[in-house]
Amino acid sequence: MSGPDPEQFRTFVEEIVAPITAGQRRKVRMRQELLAHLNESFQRELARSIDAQSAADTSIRSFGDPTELRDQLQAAVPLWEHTFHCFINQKETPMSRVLWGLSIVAILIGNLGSFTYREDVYMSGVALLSVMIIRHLYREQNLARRWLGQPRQWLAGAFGIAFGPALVLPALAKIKMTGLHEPAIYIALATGALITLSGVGLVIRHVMSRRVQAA
Amino acid sequence: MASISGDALRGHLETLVLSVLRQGDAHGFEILRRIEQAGSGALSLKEGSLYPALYRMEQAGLIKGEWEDSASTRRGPRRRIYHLTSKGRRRFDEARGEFRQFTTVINTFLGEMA
Repeated sequence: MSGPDPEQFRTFVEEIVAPITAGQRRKVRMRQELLAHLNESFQRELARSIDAQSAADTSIRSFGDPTELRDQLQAAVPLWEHTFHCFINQKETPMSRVLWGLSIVAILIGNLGSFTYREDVYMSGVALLSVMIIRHLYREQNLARRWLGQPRQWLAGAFGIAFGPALVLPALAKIKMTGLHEPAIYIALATGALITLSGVGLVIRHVMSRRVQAA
Repeated sequence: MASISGDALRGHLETLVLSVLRQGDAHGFEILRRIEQAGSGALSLKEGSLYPALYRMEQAGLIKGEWEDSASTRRGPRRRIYHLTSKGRRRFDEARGEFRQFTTVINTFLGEMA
């Protein structure tokens, strides 16, 4: 009995499983189960087809659209695991973990520290955290998509763009007019910046996915 | 016979899986084969969409999966064998009752309209 081209099935399964944000153990399990299914399906199709290649193609076709399946599998990952692995276990970009950590430490030091330039440290942390959030929202399997659902992403983004500046602008005006560098002003500024930038990220993500769908 | 697919089938996939596993333990491909067989070709399901359903059901404690014996003589990747838990059995009984009630009510309407 001829076997399927192992690379063809493996590539297909990788296309589905690799972008999923989940623990390695869960992803290994997904890979094994999907591969086992494709192998069985191939054996069934081989009995009906004239050659191994068309049997393999039919097996892949009957399995379904990889993007749709990836979304369904991602939705089946518990939310806590999805959230945890978004920030902790990003094997493909190990620097991300360092940057997430740095931004949070900078915010903590800026917020709790008592040295002269704490606002600078705080703002650096906020800037870094904002970049990381935007970067995360740009990912296909982002948390906003999971929490809000695909269709509501742009709505939440528009809300962020509209509401964020309502915090940023008064805070900037207060700094300019009074020259005060109070933590409360910086917190408002930082929160507003985060909301605005997250909104921009969500809208960009939505536009990008619409363009991909249209293509 | 027109085939039942997409959302119409997805809404009942959990009950179909529970029903199939009542007949005996099975791995993913076998579950699908039994569903297709029982549906006499009227049920058209994208095969991959079975797995997210299985994972959700396992998390909910309705089914339990175990890897097949590694000493198995079968070649290829290992399969995961699923069986029904007592919670799954109860859920199936509930779902069957709800569905019977639903079809009875709908049939009343359809009967009146005919």
